[in-house]
Order: sequence, then C-alpha cells, then structure tokens
Amino acid sequence: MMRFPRPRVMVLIAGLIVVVNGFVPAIWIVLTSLKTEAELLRLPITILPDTLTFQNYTRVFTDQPILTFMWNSVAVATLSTLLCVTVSALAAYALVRLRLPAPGLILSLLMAIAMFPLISLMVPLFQVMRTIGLLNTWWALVFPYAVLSMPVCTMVLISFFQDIPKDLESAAMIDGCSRLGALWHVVIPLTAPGVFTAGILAFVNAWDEFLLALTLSSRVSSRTLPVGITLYQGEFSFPWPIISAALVVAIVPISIIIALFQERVVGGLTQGGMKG
Amino acid sequence: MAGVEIRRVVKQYGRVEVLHGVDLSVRDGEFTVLVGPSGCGKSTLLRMIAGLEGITGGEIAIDGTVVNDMPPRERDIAMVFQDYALYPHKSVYDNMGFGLRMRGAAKSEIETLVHEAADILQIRHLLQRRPGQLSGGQRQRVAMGRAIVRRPKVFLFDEPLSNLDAQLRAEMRVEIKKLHQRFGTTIVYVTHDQIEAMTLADRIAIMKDGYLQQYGSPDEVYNRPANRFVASFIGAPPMNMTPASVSADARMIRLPSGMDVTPRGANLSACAGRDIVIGLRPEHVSLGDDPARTPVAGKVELVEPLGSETQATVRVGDARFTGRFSPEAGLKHGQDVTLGLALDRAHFFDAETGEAIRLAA
Repeated sequence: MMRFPRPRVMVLIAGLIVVVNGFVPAIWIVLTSLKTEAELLRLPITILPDTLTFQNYTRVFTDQPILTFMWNSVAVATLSTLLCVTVSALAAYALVRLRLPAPGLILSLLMAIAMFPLISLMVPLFQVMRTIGLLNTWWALVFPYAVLSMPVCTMVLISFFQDIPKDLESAAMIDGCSRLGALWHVVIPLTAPGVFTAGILAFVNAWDEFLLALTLSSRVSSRTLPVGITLYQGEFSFPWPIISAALVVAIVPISIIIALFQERVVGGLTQGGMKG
Repeated sequence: MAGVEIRRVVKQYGRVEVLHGVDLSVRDGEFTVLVGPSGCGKSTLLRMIAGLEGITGGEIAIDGTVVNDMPPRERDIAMVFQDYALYPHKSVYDNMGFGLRMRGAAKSEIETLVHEAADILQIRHLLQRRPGQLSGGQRQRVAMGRAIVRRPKVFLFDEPLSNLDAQLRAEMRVEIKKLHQRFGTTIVYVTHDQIEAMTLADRIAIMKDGYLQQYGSPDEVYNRPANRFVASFIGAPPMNMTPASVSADARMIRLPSGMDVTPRGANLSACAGRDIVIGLRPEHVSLGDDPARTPVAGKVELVEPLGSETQATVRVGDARFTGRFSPEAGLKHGQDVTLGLALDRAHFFDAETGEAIRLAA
C-alpha cells in the first residue's frame, strides 16, 4: 500500500487557505471594477464581466481628487517609514550592542506601545495635534504612524542585528568608523533584508491606516487614500464598481513598492565574511 | 612605527576583575606575543590596546601618547581578527581599501596601496571577489592585506591562525614573520599556541588568570622560566614536573614514593631542606647510565614513535618522566630502563609558591 505523505498535504492545504484567503477578495475587487453597476446588481451574479468597462477608472479620477489622496498617502507613509526605521534601527542596535541598564524593561515598555488600543489614543492625539497646530498636516499622521510601527520594527531589527558578528563592527571602528559609522557602513548593509522587512511593515501599516487618518485629517486636501475612498460613497448609494476601481488604484502603488523591495529581502548576505 | 606601553592596566566587568594591574612595554618595531590559556585575559588586553574595550585602571600609551580615552579609529592601529571579520558585502578590493577610504584617501592612492599590498600577499587575482568566494587561507591573507594597506603604527593580531589547518597555519606563520621583517612595524600578537609564540616572537608575554607571569625572549622563557606555570606552558612535550624534597645537606633528593637519588652535576644548596618541584625538559632525559647525569630506574609506560624521534614516558616510583629518544633505542611498553636525568639543566621551583629557585653556579 502506498504511504500517504500526510504532513506535506496538511502544509499544502494550509498554504492554499492562506493564498485563497488573500487573493480571492483582491481578484473579486479587480473583476468588480471592470463591470457596470447594472451587471453587478443582476442575478444570477457573473464572475467574469460580460462587457468589459474601464468607465469606473475614469470616474475614480474625475469624481474625487484621488491623485491628491494618493500623494498624501505616499508622503505620509514614506516619511513615517523613514522615521520609524531610523529610530527603530538605533533602538535595536542600542538594545543589542550597548550595555544598557534593564534592557528587558525597555523591551517590555516598547511592546506595551503595541498593546494600546488605537481608539484609546485618538482623543489625546487629537488634542495634542490641535494644540501644536499639526491637524490636517502630514505630520499629524507621520509621528503617530512611526511610533505605532516602532515596536514591531525594533523587534524585527533586533533579530537581524543579533546575527551580525561583533568583530565586523570592531573591524569597521578600527578602519576609521565611529560606532554610528559602523552601523551605517557595515550593520545596515548586512541587515538590508531586515531593514526592508521593517520598512515594508511600517509602510503598509501607514498606507492602510484609517481611524487616525479620519480623525486627524478632516480637509479633503490632506486626506489619505483609505479615507478618500469613502468619499466615493453617496448619501444613498454605494457605487461598488467605482469604489472597487479606487481600491485597485490604491493597491497598485503599494504592490509595486513591495515587489521592488522584495527583491532586496534576500538572506545570505552575511555568508563568508567570517570563518566557516 | 611606535612602542606600546601598558602600565598597571586593570579591567573589570562589573565586580569581576579580569586583569590585575598588567605592566608591559613593547618596544618600537618589536614582535610581542601574548600567550596563555583560555580566559587568561590576553585577548581582553589586546582589545584594550585597540580601544575596543574600556580601561578600568592604569593606562595604555601608543607612540608615547596615552590612548585611554581615544576611540579605535584615532589610534592608528590595524587588527587581524580570529574570524577574519571581512565585510561580506564588499569585494576584496573594497575590504582592503575601506580603511583608507574612511580616512579620506584619494581614489588613486587607494588603488596604488591596495595593489601594492595585494602583490605582497599574492592576492591580486582575488581583488574582485567577495569574501564568501574565498578559502580560509585566502580570507586570512585578505584580512592581513586590510591591515597592512594602511601602514599603521601598530599591528594587532588576535589568534589569526587558529581557524586554519596545520599546514596552512605553518605557511601563514612564515608569511607573518616575513611581513614583520619587511615592514618592521610593532606587532602585538595573541595566541594560545606556544609554538606560534616561540617561532614568531621577539619577546613573549605569558599570562595566567589576568596576571603577567613572565615577559622575555623565547630563549629566556624557555630556559629561565620564572615559575612553574611558565615552565610547563612553554615547550612541547611539556616539561616533566616531579615533586621532591631536598635533604638538609642538599646531597640527597627524595622523589615521590620515597626513592632517594643523589644529584650529579647540580649544586642544590639553595634548595636545602625544602620541598620543591623539579622541572626537567624531555630533551634532558636520556637512556642509560651517564656519569654526568643522575641515574634512576623505571619502567616504560607509553611509547609514541614520531619518526625522527620516539617520545616515551617512563614511570619512576610514583613519578613519570617523558623523554625524547632515538628510534633506534627500540623502546617497548613495560621495558625496564635506566634514565639519566640531567639535573644540571633542571629547573627547581618552590613547592608552595611555584616560583623558580635560582641555583648557585
């Protein structure tokens, strides 16, 4: 009797569930964006569009200033990612290399940030941003987004920094680098996969965030994509094909960024510098 | 070029003191080897010279300037690490030129100096490769290339050969010696291998438990060890150590198990009436009754033929003596033999303190 490789089948099924769960809604949105509203409401439902239309995409750009929303999203996500990765890298390096007092306590406090329910931060954040005059600016979102992603980014970077042999930094310092120079010239290039992973996490978090964006940016000119897309909804109507087209437009930039960075997220860079 | 002065240097990690006031003076252009067993503090001391470890007490001076608070990059030193520590993301050329680049050297100067160093180490054909594409020996050459390219005041080597196989190690030892002869730069070299220490050093600093035991030329530490530890650490096979007591008139030595021997050729008056440890190098143990040597009877316990010579351990009462004998002697396990101990060449140590007892000539 042939033996059935059960564990492999289980892994395959689990993988399929994850992939289907992720892709089916995205494919559904793409297909919906190519249908007319009439076709969408017709029964029986169709999977592939009967008549392909790009009208919804035109409406996305004419009905609302989506390019402004996109520019705001790109700016806020990029700035918060840069800030988050820079601070997280320094924090992770300090926790891994410097003899800090109570590093365990620092890590616990850092993780506590990730535990705050976002809703509990909204009112104080709103008041702070209003007081310092940052409401309806990119910075009202950049700072909170950077801080909210810091715990996970720091943890990711800690795990990568721990793998870098100390002697590489010592060699860099003898070669003429300061400690920060060694971090920049040696540690960061060698942990590029970790830095890009942390960057992608921070970027996606910032790109997707809705609640703070809705609260801290009430002007159309400062809105980001997740909030901007809700503006396509009318008082009594839900133009799903147009909303779907807007979602596709919102997905494209982040997909490109992830695809570009994924190339860099490769391991094995540290191989060969040390013995072995 | 420059000397390195280490004055009463102390290192503490929290409450644990690992170096207890070490004094060491490395002369300009000298090749000093720090040697000792694991945990003796030799690598810590080297890293303190490099500026990679802080100094708890005392001071270190390079070329006459106290460098205690100077960061590594300002000390004008170069270091070769045990695990090479080559930058994996850079080519061999960039690895070697990195230090020059950090110091603002012009591109053309970097190119000239890197090519010059690569020619000396015969690695020019490897310049465009990454460290991951090199063998262990090649990586070690690149690590040395990175060090020599800057022409620093002092070279520091931290067990650079310990990851190489025996043949490569011997080859690289020669290369390092040649480099020192060529550049004449001051070198501080850490190893736990006493053969490396003996073959390379102008002077050897032997350390144990954070204390400097002796600092002298290979000849001095081999032939005039300061204490029992130095005597047994330097030399392979190690020095035979036998506890004994000397009679009040210094004419009789009592070996373990009560065997009394009359010493020939050695004036033991400095040891009269004392409990001592006799240290005798294997080359000072011979077979047969030699009138100049002190005879003892024993039984062969272990025979190790090495081709050019045979090392054998002979049990004499409760004591054991290892000697280097001619293969023609045809020693067999269990054979009864008479050994001739050259006590005039022996070393005598206080049984309690382990300090060497100097005999009257």
